[in-house]
Amino acid sequence: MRIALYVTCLVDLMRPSVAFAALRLLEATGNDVVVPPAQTCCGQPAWSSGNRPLAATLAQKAIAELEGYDAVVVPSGSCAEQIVKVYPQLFTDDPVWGPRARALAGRTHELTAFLAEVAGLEAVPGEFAGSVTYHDSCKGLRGLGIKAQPRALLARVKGLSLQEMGECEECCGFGGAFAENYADISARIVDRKCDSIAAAGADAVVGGDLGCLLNIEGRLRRRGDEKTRVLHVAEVLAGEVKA
Amino acid sequence: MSAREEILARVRAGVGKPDAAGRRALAETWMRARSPGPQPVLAGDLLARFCEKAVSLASSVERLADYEQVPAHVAAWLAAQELPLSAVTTLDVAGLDWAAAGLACRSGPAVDADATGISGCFCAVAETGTLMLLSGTATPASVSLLPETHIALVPASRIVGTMEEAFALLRSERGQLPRAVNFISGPSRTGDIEQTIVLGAHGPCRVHLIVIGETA
Amino acid sequence: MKAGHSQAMFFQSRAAEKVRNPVLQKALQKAKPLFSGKRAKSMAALPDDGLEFEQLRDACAGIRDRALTDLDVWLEIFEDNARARGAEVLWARDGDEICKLVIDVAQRHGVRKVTKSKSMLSEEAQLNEALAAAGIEPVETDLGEYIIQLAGEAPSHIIAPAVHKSLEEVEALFAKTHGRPQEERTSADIPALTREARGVLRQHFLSADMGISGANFLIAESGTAALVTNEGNGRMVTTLPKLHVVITGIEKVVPTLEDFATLMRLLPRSATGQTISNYVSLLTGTRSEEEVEGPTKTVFILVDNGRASLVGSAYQEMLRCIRCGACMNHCPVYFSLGGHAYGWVYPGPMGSVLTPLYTGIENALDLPHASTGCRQCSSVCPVRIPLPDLMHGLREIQHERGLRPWGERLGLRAWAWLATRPALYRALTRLAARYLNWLADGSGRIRIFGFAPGWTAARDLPVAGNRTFFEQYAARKRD
Repeated sequence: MRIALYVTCLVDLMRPSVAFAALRLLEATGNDVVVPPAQTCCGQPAWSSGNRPLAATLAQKAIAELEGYDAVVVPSGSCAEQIVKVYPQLFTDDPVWGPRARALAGRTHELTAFLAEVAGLEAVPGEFAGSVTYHDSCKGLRGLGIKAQPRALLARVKGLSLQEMGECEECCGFGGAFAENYADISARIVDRKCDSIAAAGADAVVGGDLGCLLNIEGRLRRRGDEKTRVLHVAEVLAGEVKA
Repeated sequence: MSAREEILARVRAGVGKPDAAGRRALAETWMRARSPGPQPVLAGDLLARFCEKAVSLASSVERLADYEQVPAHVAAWLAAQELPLSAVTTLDVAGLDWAAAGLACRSGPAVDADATGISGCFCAVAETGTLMLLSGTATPASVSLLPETHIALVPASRIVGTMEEAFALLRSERGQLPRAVNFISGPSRTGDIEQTIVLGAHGPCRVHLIVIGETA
Repeated sequence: MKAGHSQAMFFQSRAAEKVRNPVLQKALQKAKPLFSGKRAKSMAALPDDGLEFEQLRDACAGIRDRALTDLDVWLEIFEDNARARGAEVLWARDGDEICKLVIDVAQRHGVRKVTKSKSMLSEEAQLNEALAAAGIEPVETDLGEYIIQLAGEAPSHIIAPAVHKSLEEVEALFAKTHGRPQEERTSADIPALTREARGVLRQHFLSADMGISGANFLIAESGTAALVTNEGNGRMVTTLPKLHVVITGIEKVVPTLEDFATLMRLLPRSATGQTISNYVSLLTGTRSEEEVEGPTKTVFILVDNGRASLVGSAYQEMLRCIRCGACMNHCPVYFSLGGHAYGWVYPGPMGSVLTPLYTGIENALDLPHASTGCRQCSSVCPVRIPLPDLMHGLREIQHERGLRPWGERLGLRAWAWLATRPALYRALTRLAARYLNWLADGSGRIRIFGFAPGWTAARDLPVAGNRTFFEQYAARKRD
């Protein structure tokens, strides 16, 4: 199977280790892994702002460069949802792009769902001496049903114990442009999330979407919490975690 | 154009379908078919279910073998609650020998001063532990509403499974809805001050159910 | 209808004020787990009776859709059956017409005092103000509505209108209105305060000439108004006065009693986590000649106020709404602000859809955007309204009409231009990574960032290094 890794623009710029971790995990499944070189942004910011034509332009670009693979894997529930759920909506009645968008949607997977359900990855390379608490990001959870998969994989990480936080399915307040445009509200929401994380008392908070993680980490640090680590699930599973 | 005509014209434009008469005939047919939604599967017997649910809604429940025992039980229960031995009753239960048990009962609509109201019920719904009362000349709705204490007599044979079954009974016995059907499930309550639940908002603070006899 | 009394255009400034109000935040913090916890518990118990939430909400959505796809027919059936039982059926295009019809009925019958059971339509119409101006005293009788009427405020939640009020505020209002000295109160005194209101409102119930209620549903087959309450005020208002006026939206009609029974399996569970509300009343026609109580005259006012224009539109699903409040009870934005920031009658996700649709898209530009897209609302909606998708549709309309700010439009266009030129994109992201790293100055974070002032007002921006993934990946491949 030839797998394309869709890095996502946020990971490319803000946290490259997530993509390297994803690469390592995908290679551990014994498949060919390719990073399509021209990939940029899936177009979600345009879609969220209501700019359908621009979202469609970026979707066409992504479809063209991703459709030649057996599977496309995304280390983000949010960007995966954009491809899986939104791309087909963008081209519902389009005789050319509609079928292409639907075909790509059917072959695109969020990383943990791919590892747990498609590749059936048994052993994970990562080790983690400590406790983690898992934040369920909204788009992955309610858009794609990502809930059990990351937990099942984390359970196989040597040394790791899972300490669930209260209201782990509650939104962190990120929401893309929302965090900037409605900063007051976003800050109030992420504060509640930080309270839940603090109450769980784990060594690290882990999640599957970098946007949420940057939001949570940024607020934890601003509140003076320098101790709780904020990690992407791929980093923990792959052992791409600096001590 | 009248408001009615204008609004209906807008709705028709939105509905976007011709043949209103044909669609009305279909609607009438559909109504007569009475298609129920998903129905609950109620484990155990209805009587036990009704009692359990009623208690969970903060009603108290007593089971008696027959109507003869009712007045004495009511007198004892009121005394135990330190409530006055008087009540207003609906006409359908006025025939019991309340006086013999030392109770001063008057029948008819309730007034503000009435401390206790005693009513029967049309039937009861086991699924939710709910009473179904019908308004009428003999059954003024105020009896179950104005007094702080409401006592209801529930024949075990009149406990049905669901609200749908209650409606079926109503249709077969009465044909049409009375002015008011009141489903009552425990004492009135509010949570409007800091989400703290308080029993006895505007309606009764106490609901005591007396289930009579056995299921048929 | 246009903007009317909507304040939705001031959403941003109101939100800024609300997130900084400690009394409000404390109240919301207390209510949040109660609302969601009670609902979750009641839904979790459904399988004990062989029922499933997903199956029930399919059925409930189906019932609402059946009514809406032939709404003209069901309204006429309702009207015929209501009239056959002696009720009068009137129609109102908007809030002003509601006020006119109610005042007209009241004046014809010499009404001086009106007791009201909660009606959101009366809020749409600002009926209390209109009644008072006509010399008729309106008394809200739902405890929460009574509290906010005393405070001169609007409801901040559709089923818990005074959720934003603290015990101390209620005590102060009661002391002032009921003419007694103010006392120190603890939560142990809440029953006493409730009792105090009961005593005051009981006298109003007994002396009112007219009762006004909403209706949770109109049942077409029997011409019936269904009223679901816990306090018993709905029963008082519809039993004691000689005159009963029901004000309700045209979308509230359902075909049969069986349909109503199905909806009742989800409405109380979704709203308060109850398996059933304390009082479910089905009100049909007027009292018979032999009856000694109940209204001698019942008037239905069926209201459009924007609803008819949604029938057959891309927003018809919004008309399924049964006003349970579950969407706001599970909304992270609602629980950061309370309801007043939304600026009109309906807060939370349903308000973010209804307010622009009913008061003008250009008058509520923030509401469809003030959402994280978390989809918690649609996952709990008992009639499967795709609220986030409807909000998204409104965002698209804003874009099409050129209502988005120029900075956002320009920024997105520049971003898309760049993202479709991979070589240039790689070069610029490499620069950006270096720039961010320079700003972080070895600390791993940026504390003040001019390009995202909102973000860094409350958070740091974590920075991982000075090279992008693609830069590092290319270097690794070369090695």
